Amino acid sequence: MTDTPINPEAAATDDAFARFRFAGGRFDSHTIPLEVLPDLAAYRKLVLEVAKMLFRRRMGARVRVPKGFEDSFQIGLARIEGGSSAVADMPRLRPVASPPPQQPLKFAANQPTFDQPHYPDFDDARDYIDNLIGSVGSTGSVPPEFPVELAGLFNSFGQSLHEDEFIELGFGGAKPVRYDTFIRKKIVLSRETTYENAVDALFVLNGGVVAQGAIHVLDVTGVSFDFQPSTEFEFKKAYNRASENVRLVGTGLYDKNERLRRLLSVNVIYSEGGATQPFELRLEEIRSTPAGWYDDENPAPCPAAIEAMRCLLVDVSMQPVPLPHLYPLPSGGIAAEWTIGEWEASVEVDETGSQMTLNSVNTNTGEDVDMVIDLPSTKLMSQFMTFMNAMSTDEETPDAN
Amino acid sequence: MPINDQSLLPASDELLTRQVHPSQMTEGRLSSRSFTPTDKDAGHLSADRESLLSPRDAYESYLQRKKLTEAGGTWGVSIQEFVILGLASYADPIPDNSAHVLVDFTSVGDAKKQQTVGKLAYAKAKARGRLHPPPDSAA
Repeated sequence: MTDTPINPEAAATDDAFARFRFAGGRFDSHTIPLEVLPDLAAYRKLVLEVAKMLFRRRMGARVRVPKGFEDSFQIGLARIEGGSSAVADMPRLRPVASPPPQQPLKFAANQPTFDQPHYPDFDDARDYIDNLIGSVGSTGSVPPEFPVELAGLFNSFGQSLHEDEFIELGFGGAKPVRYDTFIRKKIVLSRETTYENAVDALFVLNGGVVAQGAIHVLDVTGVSFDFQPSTEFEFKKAYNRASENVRLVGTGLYDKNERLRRLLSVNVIYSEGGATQPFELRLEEIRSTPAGWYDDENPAPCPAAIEAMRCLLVDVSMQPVPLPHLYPLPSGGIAAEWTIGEWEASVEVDETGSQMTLNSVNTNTGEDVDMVIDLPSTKLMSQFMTFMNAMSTDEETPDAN
Repeated sequence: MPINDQSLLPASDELLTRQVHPSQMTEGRLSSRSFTPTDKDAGHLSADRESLLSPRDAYESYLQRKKLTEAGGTWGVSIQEFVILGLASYADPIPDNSAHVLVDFTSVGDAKKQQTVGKLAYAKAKARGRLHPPPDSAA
């Protein structure tokens, strides 16, 4: 982990509301991965809620925040500067001018309403958050006056950080403070019984409830959890593949003892290996391959062949079979390929999309399997599975790469 | 095409190299078709002799010819390995490439058999790894 600050002077901008330095782990490559960006949106939400609290403290608990209070606070990501880490400058944005109201013509009525009150509570909120984090970092405990209702907001801010990473808030200022997963957990659990954190663990698919779109899984100790896949396709796939070992990656709710209590949002990584890129994306890449890519005269991949392959892969996804790697063929057809143990297997759709050729060879023994299927075929999947099973008779679970 | 005894290359460890188009690589995996002749090749797979054209020069030449900034790289199978698969290799210098060779797949049978043997050649190339750019560099 690298923790050498970049030159604060070089990174400074006059109008930055907040300046974060991201360091360690992935940030050593001097960039901010896109999956970290939701943390910045969560920071804005956190500042907003703290500002509301401070406003009420200032004006009285029964006073509502004025109309336009929330909209008056917008921050953006102005630039990211690399070094041995990555610094994000976030200035406040001017509110978008609202159109003039429909009313009789007056000189002033046609002017956009740029001028909104400048509430000091947002700057105070930023400093409040910095002080809170600094205090937790130095004392190891959360000040007793910290409001219960704000603790949960720290769930989202910093959720993407790995254990070896941290954010330095107030970078370049007089009192920069370090915020990491430990401090985040400390703050959330000071007022709540659970906190959100990353899930990345092995589970067994265990059926589900169709009406609710819920999938059941068991962890390695046999404890049952549910989650809801984001699409119907993903639900069907997980539902049809009950009893398979899978990896779930996403977010879960944990208790103080680091025990997972609930799955919040997870993706299923099937364990058979093979291609990891979603096949729809790869098919789009192939669809955009120009004519002449191979020898200047060969055709572009034929849409009919791509569609026939897509139909096959939709069905293959429901089976305990690795996803194949996909390639255009110089003929205008398309190939799906698997490496399964010692076997090299392929399914090729010809350029008319009317025929599939299945071929595999054991690279150790030279044994081969060949099949030809005319499309469309009502027996396509059964024939395909026969083909795949011919390779895996000596291996219970195909392991592809 | 000089498929005759005079141009036959003796079995040796010399590598015969192939260039791979970017579309034939995905997630770092090479297409198993990379060492199989296409229909237009009429059973004769084109390659380059490593002794006459280095994997690096062959790669750079391919990028220039195809107007690419990067490609799947240079991969190779030795003449001896082709021989074990029942394939003979022939020197076939052409005007813009004196290193050009042809590997004769017609001896193994029809297109289906050629594909099977092509996969065996591909497995050899894959086991050897990419020759250029080096495997640990981005290509």
